[in-house]
Amino acid sequence: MKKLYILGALLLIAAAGITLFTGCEEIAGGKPTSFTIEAASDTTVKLTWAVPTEGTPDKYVVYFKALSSASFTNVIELGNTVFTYTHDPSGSTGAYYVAAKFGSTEYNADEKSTIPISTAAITVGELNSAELSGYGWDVSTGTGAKYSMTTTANVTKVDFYVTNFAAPPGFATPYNIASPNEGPTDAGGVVPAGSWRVNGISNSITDPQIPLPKYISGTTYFNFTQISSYPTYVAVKTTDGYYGLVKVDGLNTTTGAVQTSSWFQLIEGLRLIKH
Amino acid sequence: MKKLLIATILVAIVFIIGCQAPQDVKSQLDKQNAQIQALEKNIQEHAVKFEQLKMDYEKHMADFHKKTTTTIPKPTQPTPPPRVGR
Repeated sequence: MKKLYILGALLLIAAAGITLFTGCEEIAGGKPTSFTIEAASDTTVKLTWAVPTEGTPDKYVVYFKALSSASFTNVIELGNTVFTYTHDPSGSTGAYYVAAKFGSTEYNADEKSTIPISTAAITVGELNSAELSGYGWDVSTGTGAKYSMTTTANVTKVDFYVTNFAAPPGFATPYNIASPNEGPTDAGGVVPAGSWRVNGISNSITDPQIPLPKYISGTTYFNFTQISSYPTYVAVKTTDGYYGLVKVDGLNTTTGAVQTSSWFQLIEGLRLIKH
Repeated sequence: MKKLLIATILVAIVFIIGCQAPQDVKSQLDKQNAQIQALEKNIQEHAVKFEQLKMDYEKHMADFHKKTTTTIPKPTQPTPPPRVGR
């Protein structure tokens, strides 16, 4: 009978120990999966994510760090059945992440950014100059590069080109930023016929930090824009829906060379360009 | 009367003798005339040589330094397309 009491006491102690240690362990968790950002409108950002592979968290927390800010701020806390959120950054660009909160522990998804990709000054040239006159962005990296307008191999790469719409010789001003599809009929006479992009060029922009001009069909973007002072900023809306900002720093009328730098928004349809 | 005649003759002699150019002065004048003629001849020769030199120079310039007239092409007028919205 005495042995039975001792056995019972040992079982009780073991059960208490198991309960105690299990209660003190950290709750298992993981970061949200499939976190992406896209344009909800041309100035707002839609965040989308999925349940962590480790299980359902207690809640999700959306964080945003504006370009001008030093740290992330908590934008909103959402229930564990909500998997999208649309953020209005008030014209600013910045970085986002979503955290899955298990108890008091947060598991952060990888950051996503709406900050435009900058490309330093590149020398392009008037259509009949010795320089390459086409310029285009890689939509996967956002970097700009110059291309020849004399070959149809570049029809899908060029987003605008520089021209004075005059037959050679000479590089008389004024110059224009023109949609690539104007090339084959350009008096410069060097652009072969082809499926060049039909992009839109805005009027000159006075503040290059605010959102680019809103696209309104037929009224805000044109087939070309004349560059009459330097530096000058113009927006480009590509035929596949991306926005870019072009800065024309200056030109050389003797050689037809034009210094051009740019910022490209990698989020399709988003015209936020603060950089 | 006789004395007056003698005095007149003496004055005339003195006047004639005084007005005659000395022989050395005459020879100097002759030399100068000869020099002047020689100089005139030199000038004529130099003028001929100068003319020849001038012709040679012009021939050289025509043969070896022909001026090429560079026509600077006039830039053509821009013909931009109608500016249309996109």
